[in-house]
Amino acid sequence: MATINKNKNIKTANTKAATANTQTAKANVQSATTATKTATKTAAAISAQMSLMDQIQQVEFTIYELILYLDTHPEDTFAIEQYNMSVNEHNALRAQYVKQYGPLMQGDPVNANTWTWGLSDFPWDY
Amino acid sequence: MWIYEKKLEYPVRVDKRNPELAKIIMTQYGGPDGELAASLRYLNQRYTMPDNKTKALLTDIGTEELAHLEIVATLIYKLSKNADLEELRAANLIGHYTEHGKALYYADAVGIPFPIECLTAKDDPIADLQDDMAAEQRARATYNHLMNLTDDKGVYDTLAFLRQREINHFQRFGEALQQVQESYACKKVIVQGASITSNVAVAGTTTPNVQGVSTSSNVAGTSTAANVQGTSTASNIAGASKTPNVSGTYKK
Ligand SMILES: [Fe+2]
Repeated sequence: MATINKNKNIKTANTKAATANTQTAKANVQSATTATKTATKTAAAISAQMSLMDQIQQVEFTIYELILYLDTHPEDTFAIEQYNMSVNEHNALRAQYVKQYGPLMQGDPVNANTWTWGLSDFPWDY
Repeated sequence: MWIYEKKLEYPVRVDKRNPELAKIIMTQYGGPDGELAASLRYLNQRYTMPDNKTKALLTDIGTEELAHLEIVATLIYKLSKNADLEELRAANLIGHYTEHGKALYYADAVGIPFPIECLTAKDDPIADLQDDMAAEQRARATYNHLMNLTDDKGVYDTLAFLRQREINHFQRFGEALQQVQESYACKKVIVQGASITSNVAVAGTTTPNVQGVSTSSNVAGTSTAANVQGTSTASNIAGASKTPNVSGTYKK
């Protein structure tokens, strides 16, 4: 009987934890957006390419945070919604970047007459 | 399979060449609590996890640690790039130079090569996940030490990001551990006999304490770091410490 009570408690506590975590996820998404604003300002001065990369990194961070959250909270529909929205935003930004500056990943299209994958700098060199 | 993306997870800015700082950051490259160790440990433990959810979490965190490894490598490379021999001598990197030149090498801050025995795996989700949580805390503590040792604002910012990721990983591992314990306890999925249930009982009582204590001490020690990174992660920590029901679900 003690076991049953304990399980019940765990369930209640779990629901609470899930709610708290949804708030965490919300807060994360919000702050990522705020961070995009501040980060974009400084990066824009450096170059348009860096600025675009910065935006990609920000959205990607949101996605990554949501992925780990969803791994342990797979039924949080709010987080899934946020995830899908961020993925769409990420796809659009990425497509723009790849079109302008070349492939980021194997499988990205190459819009040039040279194999730009091997010509562009690696991230530790720029 | 894995696919490489020609970009960093988080931007790396180094304000000034500093081989000495490169030398100490090296521990997060090839030290026992570094990113290589974390990645290899999680990616190796995932095969024997009891359910797909936990396998997914270990795969995803293990993969992110590889991205962190590249960030750390970029920090080391940029901090020591163009350093002359005198600078390397002053930074105590002359031994490293003798063995490896300017190449990166998987070693800790005092040059000890990567210790393979740090890659624990027990085919026991409770032992493994507890260990992963401890590993995240050790990595966080190491980043704390590194942040105390740098006044380079660019480097500090990147270290603060990496440090915050360790806290978030810790949180997720804690949730995974709790869920694994619950599924053993509730469904009575006892594959190997009673030993598992008794494990659950022991681990169940200790987990909330571990989480509650460590996260609250995090908050105290690191307010600046959390500020640098942004409110997301700050509220994360605050939430965990103030409302123990996030981590301390076994309390009542
Ligand atoms: Fe981590």
